[in-house]
Amino acid sequence: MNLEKIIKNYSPMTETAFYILLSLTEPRHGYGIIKHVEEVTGNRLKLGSGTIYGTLTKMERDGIITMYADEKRKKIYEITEDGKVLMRHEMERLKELHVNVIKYEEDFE
Amino acid sequence: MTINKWRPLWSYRIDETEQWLAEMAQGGLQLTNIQRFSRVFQFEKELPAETTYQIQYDKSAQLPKTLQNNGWQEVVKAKRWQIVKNEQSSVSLFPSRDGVIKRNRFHMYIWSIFAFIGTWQLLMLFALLITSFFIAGERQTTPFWWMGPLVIVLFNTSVISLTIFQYRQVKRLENKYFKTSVDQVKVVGRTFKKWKRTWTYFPKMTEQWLMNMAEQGNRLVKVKGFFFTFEEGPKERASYVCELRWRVAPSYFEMHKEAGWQLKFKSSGGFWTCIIWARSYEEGEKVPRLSYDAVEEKRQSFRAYLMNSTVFILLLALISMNLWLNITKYEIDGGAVQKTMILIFTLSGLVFAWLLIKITYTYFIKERKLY
Repeated sequence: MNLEKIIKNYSPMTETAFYILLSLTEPRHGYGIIKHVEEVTGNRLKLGSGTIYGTLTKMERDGIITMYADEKRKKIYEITEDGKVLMRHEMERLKELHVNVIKYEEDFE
Repeated sequence: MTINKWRPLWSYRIDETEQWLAEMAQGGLQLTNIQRFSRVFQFEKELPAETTYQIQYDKSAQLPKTLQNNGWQEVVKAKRWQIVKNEQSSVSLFPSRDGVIKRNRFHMYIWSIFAFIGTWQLLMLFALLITSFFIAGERQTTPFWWMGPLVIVLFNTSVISLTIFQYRQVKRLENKYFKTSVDQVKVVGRTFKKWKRTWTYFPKMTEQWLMNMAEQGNRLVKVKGFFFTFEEGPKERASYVCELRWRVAPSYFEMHKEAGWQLKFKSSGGFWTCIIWARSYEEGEKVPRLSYDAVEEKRQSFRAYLMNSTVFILLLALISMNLWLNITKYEIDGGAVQKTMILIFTLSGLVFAWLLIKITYTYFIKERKLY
């Protein structure tokens, strides 16, 4: 899938997809991703292994992530260059969202 | 100078081919190219070297950065195939096997259909030969009458043998690289069996039933077809998940096992796989699920319902067609055989129609309410 299509399909991103990709600042095992998401969200977001599996399979098919295996043949997931571009694009969108939250939050009090 | 080596069926015996490539490199022949259609591997003479080869198959087939940093490099890229090598003395990270297994499994399924037709043809041929030799007492007069049957036998046995070969290779690869086997449970208490014929049609209802059984102290030990074996013991909190999945990848099992799930059952063969997972949890803890997305779960169960009902619809269509043919023939000839056939097809049609209505009713009235 080309980059333009990836951005069109994935952005705006679901919370699950965003946190999965955010976990891949370094290559991780599937269970490592689940634990990392729990850690950064203060246990608010608990991802089931079925959710992780479905999302990772789709991302791998679309070339956003890639995988390899360690000595024990356990799968490790790594973000691709296209995945990094997608994340930067999404982060820019969220930054804009954040700026507007700060700017207008008082009006809703 | 290029040296060509022919290697038929190389893609079905992946790890043997990788080992063969490593031996060639050890003997001073480095792989430079492959001819996909003629199954020819091309080598160039180089200095002997210890090389690890791995073959990948994927739509994108790209080498992850970490693997590149660990010494892996691409040697050949041919459409979706990618052959990579590593010349370091110790290799700790490897390309994934998922793509290759997924592709070979798909080939195995397609060949299974041919093997099924082949077996049927052989049985028909066998029945025909028996009839003509022993029952009818006839003898062939043409000198080369055996040529036709021999070609059919040779062709079909080759197809069946190739399918069995592929099946063994896929199973071997799966067992070697993935934890796809059902988790065995040590049994100490008294066991008993329960029969649940429709469990694959109503996953949520089955899950509820298994969870209730666990709460009453009946732990699921194993599942064989429609038979569930339970062990009597202390009451426990256990979450059960039943899934019907289309072309499940080996990494699916690995992912859930890693997250603490126990594989209780996995149907073998076919594009669809029925799976049962179990996981214990403590009091006060949220009931663990494979997915906490109810919409996705509901969508998945609907897919299972569609698949199950399609089988009945196809059977009904087949029966209706045969019924219609027999009625037409009966109107012309009025034979007793047609009369019996009409009766058999009508009765089986009614049974299947009743089952389809029952499944649809239970699914929409009872099963969907549980999500």
